[in-house]
Amino acid sequence: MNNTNAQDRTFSINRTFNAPRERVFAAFSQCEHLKHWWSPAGWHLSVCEMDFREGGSWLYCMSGPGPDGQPMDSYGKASYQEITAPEKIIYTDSFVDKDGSPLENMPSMQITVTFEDVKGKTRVTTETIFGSKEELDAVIGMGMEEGLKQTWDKLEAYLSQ
Amino acid sequence: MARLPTTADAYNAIAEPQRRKIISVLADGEKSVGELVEVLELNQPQISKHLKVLKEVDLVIMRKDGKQRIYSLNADNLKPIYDWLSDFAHLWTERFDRLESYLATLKKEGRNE
Repeated sequence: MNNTNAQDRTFSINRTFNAPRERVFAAFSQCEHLKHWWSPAGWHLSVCEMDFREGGSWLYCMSGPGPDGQPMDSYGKASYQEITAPEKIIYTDSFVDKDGSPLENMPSMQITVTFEDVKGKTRVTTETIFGSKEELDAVIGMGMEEGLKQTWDKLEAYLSQ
Repeated sequence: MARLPTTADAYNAIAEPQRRKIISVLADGEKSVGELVEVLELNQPQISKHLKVLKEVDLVIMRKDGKQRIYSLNADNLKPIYDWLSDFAHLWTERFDRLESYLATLKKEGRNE
C-alpha cells in the first residue's frame, strides 16, 4: 500500500448503465439532465451554468442540508480540458465560491470520464487524480496506522463491488 | 457531504513527501528528533522544519523529555482527510445511483436526445 505506484494516486469508480452511449454522454454534458442526478440524494443542483466546450467551464452549486442540518451551498467549477463526444470528458474540478473564484488551499482534482459502448449499454469510468497527485498517496501511506488502514480497506472493498 | 474547507491546512502539510515519511514513521510510535534524523536520513534542520509545519496543523504532538523533544502522531487529525476522500467516493456512488434511475426514467418516457 505504501508505495509510489501511480495507480495508487488515482481513484477510479465505474458502472455500466443500461442506456446508449450518446444518452449517457448527454447526461454528463447538459444542465437539463445533470439537475436530475448530479447532487447527492436530498440535495439539488441550485446553480448550473455550463459552457460545454474545450476551454469552457461549468459552474455548479449543490444545495442541501449540511452536517448540522442547516442549509448548505457547495459550489464547484469544472474546467473542460478535453471533450471527445461521446467518448471522453477530461476536466479539472475545483472548489469555488459563488462567483467561481477558487477557494484557497482546497484540493483540486483532474477527472477523466470515459464512456464505453458495451453491446448497447454504456460503461462509465471516472478516474480522479488528486490535485497535487500526492493527496491520495498520502492517505494510503498513512495506512500504516491501523485504524486508518482498516477503514481504507473497507472503502476499497466497497468501491470494488 | 464533502467540500468542507477544514482539511485544507492538513492537506498542504502532507503534500510534501518528506513530511509524509515522517508521519509514516511516527505511525509506528513516538520518536525523538534524533531518531527521526537517523531513520529518515535527513539532517536535523530539515527534520525540524518539517516537524514545525506538521505541528502547526496539529498533525503531530510534541512533548519534552529532559533535553529531548519527542514527537508523536495526532491521528485524530488525519481523519478529516480520510473522511473527505470517503465522502468523495460516496458522492460518486450516489451520483451513479441517481443517474441509473434517471436514465431508466428517460427510457420509460421514450425520450431521445
